[in-house]
Amino acid sequence: MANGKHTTEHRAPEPILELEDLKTYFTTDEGVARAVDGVSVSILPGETLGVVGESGCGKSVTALSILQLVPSPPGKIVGGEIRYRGRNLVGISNRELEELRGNEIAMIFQEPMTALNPVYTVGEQIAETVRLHRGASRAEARAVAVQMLRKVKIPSPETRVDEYPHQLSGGMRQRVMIALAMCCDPKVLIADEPTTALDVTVQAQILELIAELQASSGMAVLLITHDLGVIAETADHVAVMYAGKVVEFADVHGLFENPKHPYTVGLFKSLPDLAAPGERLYTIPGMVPSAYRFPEGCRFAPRCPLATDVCRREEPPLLSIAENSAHTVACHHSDQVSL
Amino acid sequence: MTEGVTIESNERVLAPADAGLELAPYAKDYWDNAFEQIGRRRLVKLAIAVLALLYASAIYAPLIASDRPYVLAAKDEVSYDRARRGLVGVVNSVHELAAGGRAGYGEKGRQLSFEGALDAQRPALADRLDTMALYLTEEQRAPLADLDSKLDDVIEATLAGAPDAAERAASLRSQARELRQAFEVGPEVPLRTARSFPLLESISWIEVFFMVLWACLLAWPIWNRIWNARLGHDRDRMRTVRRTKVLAVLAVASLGALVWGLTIGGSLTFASAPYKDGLTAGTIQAETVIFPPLAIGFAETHVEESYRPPTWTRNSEIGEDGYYVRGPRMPEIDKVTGKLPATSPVSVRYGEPERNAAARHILGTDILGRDLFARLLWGGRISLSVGLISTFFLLTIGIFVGAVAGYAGGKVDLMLSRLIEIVQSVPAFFLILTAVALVPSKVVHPIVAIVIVIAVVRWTGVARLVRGEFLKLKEQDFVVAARASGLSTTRVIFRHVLPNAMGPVLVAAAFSVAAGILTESAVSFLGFGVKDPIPSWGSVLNESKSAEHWWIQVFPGLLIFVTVFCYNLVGEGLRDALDPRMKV
Repeated sequence: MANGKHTTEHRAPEPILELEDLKTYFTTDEGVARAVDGVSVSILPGETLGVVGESGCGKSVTALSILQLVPSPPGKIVGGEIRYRGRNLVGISNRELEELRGNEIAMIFQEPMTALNPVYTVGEQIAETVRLHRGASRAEARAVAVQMLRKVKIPSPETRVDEYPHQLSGGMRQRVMIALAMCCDPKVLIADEPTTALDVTVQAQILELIAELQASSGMAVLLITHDLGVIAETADHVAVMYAGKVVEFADVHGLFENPKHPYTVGLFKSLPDLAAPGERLYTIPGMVPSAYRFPEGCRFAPRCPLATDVCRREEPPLLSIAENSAHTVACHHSDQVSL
Repeated sequence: MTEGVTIESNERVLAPADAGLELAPYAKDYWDNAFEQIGRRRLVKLAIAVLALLYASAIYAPLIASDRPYVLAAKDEVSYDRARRGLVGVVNSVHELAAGGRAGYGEKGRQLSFEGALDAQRPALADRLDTMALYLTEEQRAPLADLDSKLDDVIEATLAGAPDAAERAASLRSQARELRQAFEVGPEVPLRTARSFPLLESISWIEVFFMVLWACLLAWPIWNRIWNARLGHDRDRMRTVRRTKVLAVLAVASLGALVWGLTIGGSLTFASAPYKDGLTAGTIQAETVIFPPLAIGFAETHVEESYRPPTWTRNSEIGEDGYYVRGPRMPEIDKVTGKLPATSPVSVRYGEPERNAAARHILGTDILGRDLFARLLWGGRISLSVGLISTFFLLTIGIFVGAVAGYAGGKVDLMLSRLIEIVQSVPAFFLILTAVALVPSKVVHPIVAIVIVIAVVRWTGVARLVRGEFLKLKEQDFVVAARASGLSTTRVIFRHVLPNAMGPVLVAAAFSVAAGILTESAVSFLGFGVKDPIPSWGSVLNESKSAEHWWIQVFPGLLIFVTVFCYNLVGEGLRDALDPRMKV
């Protein structure tokens, strides 16, 4: 697919991270699960790319694939390229990967309860990464840890630095997680559902914090979520994923005002509407197809109200909705789609 | 949104500044919880105390039961005389070698080479001179001084093939003869009292290391309290100095061992010493003798007193003349010959309890009349350490294999799991018997062989446990997060996954120490373990299988039982304490 190149033509600056036709498959006894099946997206320096989709659509595997943390076996990147500043990361040595991880590209996880090691203090965990990538001494690394905790607005960081993860609340732990990811000034931050496990009030604080840190450091953020509200608030561009593929890509305004894929429309419809309380929420009929047996043609066709024979036969390519538009969609009937 | 940030932090930000400490509640970490759980179980605490005492008795065995006195201030005319007469013997040998030369010696068929034979004379002479010097004043021993250097000269000359070597050896011989005459004990040559510390000199630095270490551990409640008081009982600071405390104990023990090694430098000696015989016979005229509480060594035999039941039972009695007047060992008239079999009288040697005292042999004696209490005390050193050392090795192998299998997964896991199954199907006990029987004990000490085989065969349980833990833990977010931070695989395995998997491993370790002790006992019981006269609990048990000698089976059996039982209790206690679900 020429789409990856197609989008870059419209955007002047060099993307810092580009995925092109990325394919990550899991080979198990049941067969081959095509968790990520030809994803092409790109992120510009300093921008936030939101990736949205239902559970099991391949968002998290995409995130893990970038740092090549997919459990292997059974997972494997079987095709495509991951280009960081123009350099393909697929197939580079473990050593080179270790130098990138945490240093250039960092990651935060969904579950702050389990993403910190229970047997070390938070300071030790941050300091370990700093010492590894910056070659700092113990004292320097500790100072950096305190500074990072202050940066993520943890109160009295000088004492908190010696505390264990279980002594902190969920929101605090997610802040520590962010401090840990940010301690080496990464150029790209991959945030895999960073707020899903948190209370609503804390969610907003964490998103605010990420946005602040992004503004001050100029890093790019790949934000993975299933929450369109989060996307609306933080993302510059949005990729909607369904069944291992990107079905729609647009800037955030374009997507919210003019969604062109029936799946995207279904997602919007299923949001609770404050203007019309009391109504039953819309649900997209049917289930996400199993990654072992994707239907032929358009993968959304079995659940799509607009599906025709051509949808069940031919897989729609990702195309711009208009001349010179960065808004792309993979649907045979996108002209019939509206909110 | 910015307001929201303070919501979470206001518990501290809005609190009055002076209340900061109270608002930082001490949160218990993993080890706090574990210690607390153990502290709640009386039985486990009791088991730990019993084990601490058993190890203490094994470590301090030389200070409790030994036939060497702590302090001996005495004149030993016999050994002085032996040394004095020996002077000429040494010089004679040198003369013979010097006169005969290499040809006369005829190296063929001899154990030592010509040079070796000459060299051996130097320590021989030094040994005799040292013994003499012990009982002579500075002025008295002056004439002896140049004998040593002259002997060296003669040996050098002989080795160099100097023509006058034989001549010089002859003159040295006459000088030695004169000295022998001159130094005979008498009014002109009075002996002085020499003070020595035979027991302490037989303690090696490694024993001192453990003695100091154990003293520190036993005194732990005292110094720990003082240390904590100095930290102001601040739980957080107490937690941070935990590692320092462990290091401090090890440092003190190492320092003690180092100082001992440099100053006294004693060496581990098992053989029984001649002091008691000399003191009993009067050849050692003592001014001060201080023996350990039980002045009986584990290798000291009294054949006349063999199989004597524990003396506190009072079912044997020895008369004034040293013959049994009551008890199972009383000679009976032989039915065939109609005569009393000849027996030798039981003698009470210097420092030993009275012949009918309850404390004479509180646990009875074995076939050679060796005191069972002393043997069990010393036997604990072998039995208890075999369990610990074998566990150390099997943990090392098991953790390594389990960690690799669990973390790598896939084909590596498959192969290592099959290896585990293969090793598990090897009958460990018979492999140990075969190994001990086949490997010559001069090459590999039987106890070392037992330890190695236990470790090589029994690591599978730990490996499976660690593998299971790793399979579970490697999927956890914190492991993925550690990898996402750029840590290397080895670092992730050993710094991030392993510490989280140690709980079950510690429990398995406690059980495997118990199993190791049982195995060593069983092997020694079958006679494949330590070699006489060194005791281990199993080998002591082996010394009689007759019901008549019940004490030989009951006491070592009881010790093995108590130790294994305590280790199992500790294992159970650890399992409960380290299980996160048990935490309240």
